[in-house]
Amino acid sequence: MGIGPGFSRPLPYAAAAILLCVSGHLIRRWLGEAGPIPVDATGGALRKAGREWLAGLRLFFKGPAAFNNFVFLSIAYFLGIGLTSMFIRKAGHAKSGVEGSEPSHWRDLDLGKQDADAYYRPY
Amino acid sequence: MYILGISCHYHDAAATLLKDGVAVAAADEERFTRRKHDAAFPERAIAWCLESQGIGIGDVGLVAHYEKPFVKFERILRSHLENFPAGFKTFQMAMPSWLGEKIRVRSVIRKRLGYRGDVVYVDHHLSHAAGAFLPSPYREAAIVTVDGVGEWTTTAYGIGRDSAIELWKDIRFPHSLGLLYSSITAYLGFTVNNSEYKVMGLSPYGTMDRAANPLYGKLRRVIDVKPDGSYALDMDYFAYQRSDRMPSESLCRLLGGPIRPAGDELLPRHKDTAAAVQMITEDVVLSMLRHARKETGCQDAVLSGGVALNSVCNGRILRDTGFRSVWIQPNAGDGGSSMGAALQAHCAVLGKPRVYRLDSPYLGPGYTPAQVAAFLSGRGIKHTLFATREALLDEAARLLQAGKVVGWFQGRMEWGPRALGARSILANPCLPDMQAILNEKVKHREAFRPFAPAVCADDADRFFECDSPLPVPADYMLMVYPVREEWRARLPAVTHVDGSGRLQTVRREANPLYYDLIKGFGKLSGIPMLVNTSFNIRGEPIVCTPEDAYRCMMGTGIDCLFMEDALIFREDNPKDMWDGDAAAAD
Repeated sequence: MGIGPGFSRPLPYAAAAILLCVSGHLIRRWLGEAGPIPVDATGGALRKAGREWLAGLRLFFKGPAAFNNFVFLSIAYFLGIGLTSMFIRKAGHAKSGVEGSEPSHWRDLDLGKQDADAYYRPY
Repeated sequence: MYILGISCHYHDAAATLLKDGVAVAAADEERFTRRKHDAAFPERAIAWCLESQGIGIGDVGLVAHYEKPFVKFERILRSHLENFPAGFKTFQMAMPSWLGEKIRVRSVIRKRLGYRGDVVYVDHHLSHAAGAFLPSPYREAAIVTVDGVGEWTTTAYGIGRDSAIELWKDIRFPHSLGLLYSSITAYLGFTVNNSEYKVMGLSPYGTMDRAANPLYGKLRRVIDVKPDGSYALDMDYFAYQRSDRMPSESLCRLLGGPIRPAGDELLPRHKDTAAAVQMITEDVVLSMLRHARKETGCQDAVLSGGVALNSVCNGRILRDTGFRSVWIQPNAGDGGSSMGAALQAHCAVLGKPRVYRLDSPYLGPGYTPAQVAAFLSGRGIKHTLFATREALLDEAARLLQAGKVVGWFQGRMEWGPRALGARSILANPCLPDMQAILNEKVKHREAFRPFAPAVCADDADRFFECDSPLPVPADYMLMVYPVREEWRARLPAVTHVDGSGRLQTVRREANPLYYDLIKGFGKLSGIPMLVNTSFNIRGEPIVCTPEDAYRCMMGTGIDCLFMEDALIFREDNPKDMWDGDAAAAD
């Protein structure tokens, strides 16, 4: 039984993994998320080293995670948001704006009169 | 019955615990995690709240969250729909956290806390309103809330009567006075949601004259203000609704240059920009307060939201709006909404009457003298113990009179962003070089920012042109008043360039030890007043534990630390000194 192509022909897989990580970290930098994971500095040297190792591991896997998020969210953005946005624009829905000629910019709110049940809803 | 109020996931996460409608514990998460303005789920603040009452999460009957997450999510999606494809980056930034935690508040609460009871959601501005009105001393008051943005609302007003609150009118995103102020904060090279108070401190260096300030007229073009205080922004000048920057290129062109890189020299046009946005903020807030007074017919007002921390504007409220009195809670920003959500749950969900009045801002963790002694002995820290309170006060007053910078760690930690004499650094305000000494030795902050004076409430009128009767928010360092002309030269460390001071008034019933210290110092110096600045170094939250306080002293130029009944000198413990200058950050 083989141990898998990643081990028998490691180079293309390693290259793909590195590319994935590098892309992911570039995406994180673009999104302003780059930077070390804060590590609790209390405790002995061994415990601190263990925490730092785990933080490094977490940081490493943030790269592929960021890449995956980027791909899926891009699809969601262009298909979901983009198509809906084009649809509502074609349907003539203007941006939520205000008219300078209105006598007041206050809008009715009427908050606080709701039943107790309304507080149990997250919407 | 215990109710736990939570605010989190935007900035200034916090927790408040009510026992039968009374706030018994409240703290910001940043004090425990040591990350300033920490927005994470306030697990450690909650753990401390429960521990302080000797209870577990199973004893909590209701958890109240400070906003409605689905409504906020709707606003974010709608902003992206309106701004497609410009919001691609912000969509990528926002969605992982929204889909991961922010929208699933109930399951996060259950998973992180092991809580199995009910969770209620109080609208963001209703939480602000409740946090302002329900702990206030008024039976009836006009309520005005102004902040960056909640779900949709950015500004609202209404009325509070007994245990009920009604918010009648609002202004909605993207039109936001708070975000206008934050945009200018970003334009001036300061960090948003952190350094707005620096813009306020910088403003008197600019031209505080509407006709003479060349940028006031220009900045007025970006905001349409009606006589009733309502306003709308011209969104061409802002980018926050579609990108990760606040001011747009149009705003930069309007203000005569690009965004100032952090740390660059502050030019006259930067100072004039700060002055212009401060004047506009005051114009709008005072105008909407006047409108709220007219509409509600109330004599008293409560104010809440991040903009309510603008103490320069607050100092004008009673003079310029006709209100008889005003009350602002010490944690008027998002952190304080945890208290508002919990109080609203108590009154509106459980239908119980309000029973709580916030008389003391000291709602955070405290340490007994025995706990402090155990810490000091355990760490082998050299210290002196005082047998009596009087001996401690005498020594503290003597050291302050001698020009020493004193750390003051006494009693329970303050609720809110200001150090109010429980976690404070104190100094002599009469010394001409004290401002420079504090900046150089401890705070490492911008030279244009003055320090705050702490004065006993009964002495305030002697030194400041303050309202009479003295409003309670002055106890929470939320009012700026002019220093009386004759005292300005004698109080150089606490008098701002425009002759004003952001005073903290101290009433003996609220903090007797601190009050007596100020009076004791007055006997030695002739001026019963102290410099009071927060016990931290730049970029760190205010200290919470004895360990934090000791570490802060040893990393800075604080000469000594009074921790409960112990006195610790920095020079006596050289082994623990470290370089606080290197750690200081914005």
